[in-house]
Amino acid sequence: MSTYAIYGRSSNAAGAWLNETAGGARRQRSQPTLSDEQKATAETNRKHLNTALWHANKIQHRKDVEARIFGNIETLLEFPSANPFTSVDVSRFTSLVRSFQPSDFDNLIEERRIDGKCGYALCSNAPRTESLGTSAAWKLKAKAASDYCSDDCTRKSLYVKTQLNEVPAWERDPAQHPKVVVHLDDRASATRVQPAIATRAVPPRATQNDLALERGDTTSSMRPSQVMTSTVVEHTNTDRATTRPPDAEVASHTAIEGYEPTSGSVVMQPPKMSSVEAVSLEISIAEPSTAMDDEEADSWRDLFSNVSER
Amino acid sequence: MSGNDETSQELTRLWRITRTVKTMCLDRGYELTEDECAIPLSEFRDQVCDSEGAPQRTKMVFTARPSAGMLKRYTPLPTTRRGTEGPVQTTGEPTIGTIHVEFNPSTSVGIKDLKVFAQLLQEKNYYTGIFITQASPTSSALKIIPSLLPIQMEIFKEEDLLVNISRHELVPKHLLLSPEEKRGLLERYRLKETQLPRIRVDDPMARYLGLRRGQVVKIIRKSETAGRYASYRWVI
Repeated sequence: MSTYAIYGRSSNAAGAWLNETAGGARRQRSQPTLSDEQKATAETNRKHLNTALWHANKIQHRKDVEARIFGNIETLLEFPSANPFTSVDVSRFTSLVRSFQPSDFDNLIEERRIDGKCGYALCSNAPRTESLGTSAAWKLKAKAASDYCSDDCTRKSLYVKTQLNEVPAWERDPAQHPKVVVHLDDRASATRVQPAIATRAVPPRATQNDLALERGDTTSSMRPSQVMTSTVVEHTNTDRATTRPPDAEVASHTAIEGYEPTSGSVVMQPPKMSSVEAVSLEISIAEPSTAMDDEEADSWRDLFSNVSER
Repeated sequence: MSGNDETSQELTRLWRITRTVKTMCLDRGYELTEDECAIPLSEFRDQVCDSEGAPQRTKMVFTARPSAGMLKRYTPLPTTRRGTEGPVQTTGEPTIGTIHVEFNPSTSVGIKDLKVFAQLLQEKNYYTGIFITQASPTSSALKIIPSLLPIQMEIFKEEDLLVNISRHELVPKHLLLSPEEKRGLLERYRLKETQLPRIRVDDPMARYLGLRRGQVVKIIRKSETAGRYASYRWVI
């Protein structure tokens, strides 16, 4: 098998060589004087032709792309096809606008305004230049605002424009074509096929309530679980009494404000209890009442007992 | 009274524009009379004003046919082609025809306005159309023009036509050469056309004469030393 292949290859090569020599002989017979100089000029001519063709094709490609963009602008002048635009409109709009530069998008807006339509291609209202007349120039601060029917449309249009690629379409790689999406509001209304203007005009009520709740504007904003409630509870058995020795009669010199520190080997001399039953204000925190650890409970208890003595 | 003043001002403006446009067509070689070009204001008022005395741009439309001399100047050289029975001589069709001039009353010109005009040119089979606007058209609208070829559409702004620039003393005389004259010139000086000095198609005088790419224009200017001095420019 391998020998056959080798033979085959060699015979092919030999054939090619034979053909070449034969062709060369024929050429020499028909054109006896083909000098090196002539060959070189032919070579450079071919090179020049190739370069010229390459540039010509590039220019032609650019012209084709520009014509296509112009066609897209013309198509988008007629948008939207129905008054509340459909999801078909949205998908067509995003696909047509993909090859645009931001400047092409500006051209589209200008053309639509001249044509008496809102600059945003998915809106069929008249722009404010028409609805406000000549006063639009001084009533609207931003000049671009008069190209649209509302600030909403201005925003949505800008949302699309910022997604476009600055690189002209004829110089882009296929991967450089941006993926254009319309504004969130329009995405939602296009899927639901509802009148877009209606959904746009009324802000969702739920969010307003939520905001009020957060601010504390309504009564429902109160969260009872986190508010302190005070209840007076009679302090019947003081467990501190059990820790005190029964013979404590006189306040010792070591007592601080009537309280004997427990540390040390000194025998504790608890203050004399007043005849009045100790009453403490117990502050209860409803939610984490069980979570209080012992140390904390002790310190609270000490505090209350002092309060009651004074 | 002020409103009346404004309309009369507007009328004078339009009258001057019309005179310039008609002179321009005459200079290019269309069949127009001198009287038509130098129409007095009173006559113009009678022609274009409505019952209230306001000038109507839609009434200012006119068409003109090319003269015999112009047709000759625009006829390409006969070419010899190899046919089935020996060489065949073909005389080219003149690349010129009726001109149609329209004035646009709207203050902004978009794609739609120009498309309507282009459709009119195609329907009525006009060779050249001149569209005179108050404001310059949008950049995307101007892209229609090359797509219309061979129909020539030219767009002028009104304010550019208030004064006839070709009559200014600093503007030399421009003459379009016919294909034969061009060939004679190139043979006389043994030139290729690329070796000539150039003039752009968007040059104001080139626009005035409606020059096209590849034509040669002869420019005769006054010279202190030589009296008259002629130069040739190739339109690019």
